[in-house]
Amino acid sequence: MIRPYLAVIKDSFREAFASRILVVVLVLITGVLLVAAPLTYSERQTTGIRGRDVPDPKLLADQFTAAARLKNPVAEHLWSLMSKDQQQLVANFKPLKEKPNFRDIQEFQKQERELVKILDDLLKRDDFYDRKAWQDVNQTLEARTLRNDDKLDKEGKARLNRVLLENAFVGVVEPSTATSLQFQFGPYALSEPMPIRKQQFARVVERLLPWLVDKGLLAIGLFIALLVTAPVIPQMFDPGSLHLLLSKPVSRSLLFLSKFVGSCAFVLICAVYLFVGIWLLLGTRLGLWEHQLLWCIPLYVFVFMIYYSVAALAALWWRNTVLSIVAAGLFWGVCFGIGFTKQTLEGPMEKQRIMRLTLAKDSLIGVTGLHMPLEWDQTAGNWRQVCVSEEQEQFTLLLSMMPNLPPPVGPIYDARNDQLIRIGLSFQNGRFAFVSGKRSEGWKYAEGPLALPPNVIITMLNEPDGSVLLLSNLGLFRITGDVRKKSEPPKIFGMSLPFSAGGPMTQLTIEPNENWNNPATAAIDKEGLLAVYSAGLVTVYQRENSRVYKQLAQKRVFEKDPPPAVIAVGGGTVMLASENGVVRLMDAKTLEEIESPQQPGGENPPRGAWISPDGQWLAVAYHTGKLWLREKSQAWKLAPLNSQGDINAVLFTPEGTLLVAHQVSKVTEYELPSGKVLKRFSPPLTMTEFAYRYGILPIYTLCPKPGEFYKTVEYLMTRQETTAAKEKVDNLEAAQVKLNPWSPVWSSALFVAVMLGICCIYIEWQEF
Amino acid sequence: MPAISVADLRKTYREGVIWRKEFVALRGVSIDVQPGEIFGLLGQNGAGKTTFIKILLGIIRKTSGEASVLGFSAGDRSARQRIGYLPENLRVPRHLTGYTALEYYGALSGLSTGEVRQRRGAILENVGLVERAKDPVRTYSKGMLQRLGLAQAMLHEPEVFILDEPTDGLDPLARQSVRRTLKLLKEKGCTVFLNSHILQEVELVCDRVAILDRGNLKFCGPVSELTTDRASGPNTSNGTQVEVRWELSGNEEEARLALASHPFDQWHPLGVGRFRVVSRVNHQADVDQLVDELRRRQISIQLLAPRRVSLEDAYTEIVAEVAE
Repeated sequence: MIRPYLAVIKDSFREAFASRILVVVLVLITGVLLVAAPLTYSERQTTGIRGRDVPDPKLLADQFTAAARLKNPVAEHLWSLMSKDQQQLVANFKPLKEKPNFRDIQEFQKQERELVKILDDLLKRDDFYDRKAWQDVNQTLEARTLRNDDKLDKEGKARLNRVLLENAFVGVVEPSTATSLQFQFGPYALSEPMPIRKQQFARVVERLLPWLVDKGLLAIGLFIALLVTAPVIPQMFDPGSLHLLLSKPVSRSLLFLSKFVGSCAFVLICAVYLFVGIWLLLGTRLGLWEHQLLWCIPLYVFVFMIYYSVAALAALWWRNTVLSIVAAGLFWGVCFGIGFTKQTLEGPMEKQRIMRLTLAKDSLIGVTGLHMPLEWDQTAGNWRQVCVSEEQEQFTLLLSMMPNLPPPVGPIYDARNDQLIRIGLSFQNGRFAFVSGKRSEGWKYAEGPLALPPNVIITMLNEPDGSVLLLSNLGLFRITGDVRKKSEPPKIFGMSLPFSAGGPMTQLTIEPNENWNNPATAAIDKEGLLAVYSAGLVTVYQRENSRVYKQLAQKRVFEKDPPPAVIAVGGGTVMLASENGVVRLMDAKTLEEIESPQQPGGENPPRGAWISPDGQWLAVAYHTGKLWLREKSQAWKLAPLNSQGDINAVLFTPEGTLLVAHQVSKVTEYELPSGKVLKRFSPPLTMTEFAYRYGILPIYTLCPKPGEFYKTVEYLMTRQETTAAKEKVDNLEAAQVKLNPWSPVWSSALFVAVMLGICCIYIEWQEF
Repeated sequence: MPAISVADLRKTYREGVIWRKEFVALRGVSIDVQPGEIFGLLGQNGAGKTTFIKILLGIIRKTSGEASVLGFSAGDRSARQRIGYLPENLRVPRHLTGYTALEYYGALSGLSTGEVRQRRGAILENVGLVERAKDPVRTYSKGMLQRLGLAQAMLHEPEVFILDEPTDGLDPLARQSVRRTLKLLKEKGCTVFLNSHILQEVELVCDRVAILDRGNLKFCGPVSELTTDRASGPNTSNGTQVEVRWELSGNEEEARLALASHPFDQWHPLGVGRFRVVSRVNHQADVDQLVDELRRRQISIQLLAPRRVSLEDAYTEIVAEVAE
């Protein structure tokens, strides 16, 4: 009969409603909701230009002043639109000194503001666009569409001008989103329009809101709830109350559990009020109906239960309210300590993970998240750093602490010169440079000429003959020259570009000419078929001759808001896996879809896609550490590998085996399709890894994680088990953080069950 | 079948894991409480009364012996279903009112809200709380709380009541009300097991009492047996000496001579030519002889009665004997 227990729970609600503290808390929540209520936004086209859109203002100024010399018709046209004063300002733009003081920085920023203002004024002019000036500029689809629209309003024209400016100054003026959001607090604009799409904003909310709520409102709320409910159990043990309860025909354990559950009434009432309030605000004010947010209600009542189970056990033991609160506080400290220790060890370790594999003839090469190339040393049974400067070695620790390192560009094996090539940060001048290492010299680090910055480079690929292609937003290049020769390359558009003569790169022609805009990625197969994904468009190119790649087929996969994706090509198939986990298989010649899109790994973002050289095997690895594999003619299945769940990178070898990088720096070679282990590249564990794997990780796994429930909420809202370090992701290869969304739930549920079990045993056997 | 049956009940408390300490609270207590009787349990602090009640209610486990309530093993849920318990120093959650408190405790006893609502009016009327039933209990006096406790004990109409100090903290009128309620329960055939320090109350309402002293049962029987027999003197070879209380008037000299054939003491003058005296006799014939002698000497007999002692005296005497 459950009536007595329901009565206890009902009484708890009665007690909660009678509590003055509840009224205070509800008033506070109402206050927070009312303060947030006037917050809203409107979506508008991105127009004009701001300081952050021009990363290097001196470079832009140089392009105007040298317009005639460089034969840049757009720059010439814009220069002609400027007044004499403006031209003078631009012409006198001084670079920032090498060792600037505060005043120098202020001066530079003033120049920057003036330059941007000049450009912003130009963008508003009706004569900004000049057909003749822009005739040689590769224009994006958006520009072409806007240009062909006869009914453009003032805002539309301003948008067109902005897009045209970006098209003309690729790499100098940052590309913008089509729309921006203007945030307002009532009638007041909070800031200038933010270059973020509504969808991106929704993602920011989905990712940030759970964390903010968890660490802000709930941290305070749970503490208050604990203070309010902590006396419930000790009061129950007051003889005048306890003996009467125990004399009733009820089970002691169930009585205690009812009291425990009932004590959560306070939190439940507050959580319902808070989250329904936030949900309504998001829906009505920001147009984001995040129904999954309502999961916060049961989840955070459960979080309270975790702390309260500790407080309850302490209260049973000591029958003292203060000690029970202290115990809950200590418990929080222990959980925080374990989580912090794990994170401290994990951060640098994550960056030391091998995130890409490549073969250099017989050598297995890996590259870590710290951009550190490694070669497997069979004799030593360990990895050996290659192609690394002394400075990079020295700064390893510092680099490992830096957040959001972009994925490395290279190393790629240049078979013709038997060397590794990558783009690395020069510690001498702080710019990006070609870095290489020849096998004959033991892969010794050699710094070459300046290279394009990594944010402009899409990828480096090996052509069938072993030559190295470099795909960038500026076009397609082949590395033909000496990557060690440090001769100063000619300046094109004022940029130090390693073009043709003097540089190691030769620009190739793409037919028809086209810009590859971000998000972009590319792959090439052993026949030389080049597949490029760029801003929602998949294009396949065939090598026409040594200088020309000709378009074979093109298909628009995403019309609006193109997501980042990974691409692979081989065996006559193009595989595209986009950010939401959708995998498309297309015929490489026609780009017709071979089968309907699938999501083998759910909605999780992939980190890489591969097709075996013979085209028989397809693989997609996810940031969750899972690898999905299939034979071309069969269905996707989770690869039956021991390392499943901790996989970082994959490589199909020419021999038809599968190399899998897993854990931090282990690589295992598997036979296909048996999955038999052929070879292990297993370096000894470092002290940190050992402490992490056999000390902290088991403790952390079993330990409850009351402070990590925002991850569960984030997963429920996004359906993605990983989260990117940055909101704007153009490269899916960039490391993402595993949320392990259910880990806090099951470990905490186990903990609560154990704690309540101990409480029940105690209360059953104890004589009061 | 006794309502409460306890045979050779023992309880030893043990504390500590390494340095184990033991304390014997009950040392083989045997008591039977018959249905429909009001039974009082007396004893000093630490005598074992609370331990005894806790075992009956299943709050603690017995070390050995037998204890049952209405045929069910003590502590069994069926037994607890049939018990109405009023603890000493009852604490009712402060947010409840008289009504909601009864709903809460009624539900704990398995009653539906409807059943509670049907019964609570009459019960609160009975204990004199009906006018304050909607007030929060935090505004109640101690006496009102005790009455509320009595009401919750009666709510599920149990067959056995175990009341721990039910009149503690009550004013004389409230005590009278409680006594009336107890008698009402007795009339209904309920068994009442009373634990009280107020011996006068016990004497007034209890049919039988038991006296516990340091875990030992020192007495168990009717109150009258305790109060009358305590008035008896020491046994003689001819039988039990009986103390007889006289109130006489007349010449004191003559009176002393008339009573001289048997031992007497406690001579108290009550006024001019009036006095009270207690004499010890062995048989009724001795009384007759003394009456004849007094009358012969022209002494008027205003009162002749066997001497009674109060329960308090008897209790004190028993406890003192044990102490000696």
